[in-house]
Amino acid sequence: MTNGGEAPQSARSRARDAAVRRTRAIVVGVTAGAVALSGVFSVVAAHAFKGRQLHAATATATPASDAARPSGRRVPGPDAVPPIAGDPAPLQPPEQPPATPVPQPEAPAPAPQVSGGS
Amino acid sequence: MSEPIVSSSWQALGTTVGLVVRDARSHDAARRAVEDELAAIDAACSRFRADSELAAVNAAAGRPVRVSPVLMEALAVALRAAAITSGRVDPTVGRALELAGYDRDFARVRDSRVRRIRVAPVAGWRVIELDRDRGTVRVPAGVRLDLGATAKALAADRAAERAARHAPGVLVNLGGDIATAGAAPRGGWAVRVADSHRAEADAPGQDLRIASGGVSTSSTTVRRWRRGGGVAHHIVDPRTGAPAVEHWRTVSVAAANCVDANIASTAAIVLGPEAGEWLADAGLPARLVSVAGAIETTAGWPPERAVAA
Repeated sequence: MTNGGEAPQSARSRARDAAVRRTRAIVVGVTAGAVALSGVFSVVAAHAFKGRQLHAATATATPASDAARPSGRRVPGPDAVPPIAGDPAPLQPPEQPPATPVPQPEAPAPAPQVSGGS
Repeated sequence: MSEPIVSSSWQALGTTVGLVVRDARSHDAARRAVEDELAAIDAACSRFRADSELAAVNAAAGRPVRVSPVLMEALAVALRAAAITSGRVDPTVGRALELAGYDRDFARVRDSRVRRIRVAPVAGWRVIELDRDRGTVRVPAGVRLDLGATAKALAADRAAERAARHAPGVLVNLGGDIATAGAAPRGGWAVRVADSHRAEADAPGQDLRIASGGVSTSSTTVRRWRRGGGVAHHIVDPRTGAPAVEHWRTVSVAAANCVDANIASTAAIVLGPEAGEWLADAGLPARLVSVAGAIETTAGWPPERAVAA
């Protein structure tokens, strides 16, 4: 009576195998779709942010000396040295050094002018 | 019979002007000449007037600016001062003065709110380009000129020369920068040197007579202000961008004119301990008062007793 019991079991196996195949097909399809969508999104994203690559290229091209420059305002050197730099006249002493005042018996003079810091 | 010498004083350029004239009849004309000269200097050289020529140069952001002969001369004098002193007196300290807090007329600096003193490097006088043929000046963007170390003395010299066209002899005192022109009265012009040009008669100082030329005094005891936890003064050391270290509190110098005297006195404050030897080598009579009150003199300056600290 073995044969009489095998027919229903075989039908169940076939049904199960068919279900497995369908499940595998769904998984493969979903995976393929996900990969495809990822590619599509990558392309869309790349087009949506074109400036990024350009910006990165600019930063890479910046000279090292500029990157190391202090943030403060840089003062360029002169195009021409002032003419006075060539031969400035030296400081000139007075004809006579200051003198200690001698009392004058005549009429009072104005008060002395004060030379002090200002 | 005594010689009729008259004097007057008034306020201009943010300081006190003194005028002494031989021959009283010529006083009014001499005073008008001085006033005209000071107005011309102020319009050309003031750092605090928005409409001055110097303000235009500072705001030009590196472009050449056509300037008047007055400012051209003032800049040439400033550059000569820098060259002679190896940059100890440098007109490019404007930004450093601003950061130290001296960014407006001094009367308002004292009253301003307390803030921190900041220090800025000084670009150096060699960045200034004068084109005498075109009458233009150019400074790089960010550099601000200050002619305080030389323009007032130049004004005194120019005013004295101009006033002497109307009088036999004049002395002009512009905030302690003294210039003479013409013949001196018998015995010389009476001058007193002190820490401040506003010093009272009994304040420490020394009475002198000068026959010609100019006398200038630089001092760290005036134009001082507090910022944050420190004290600043108006004489900047271009090597550091900060107010000069105080070795001498006051230096007075006599020279053939007020500009040379003022260049020397300012440089001496910045030079510090080396100043006495530098002045002596230049043959400039000078009186140097240390922070502690000790006095040194050079090149024939009449000696005196030490003043109080």
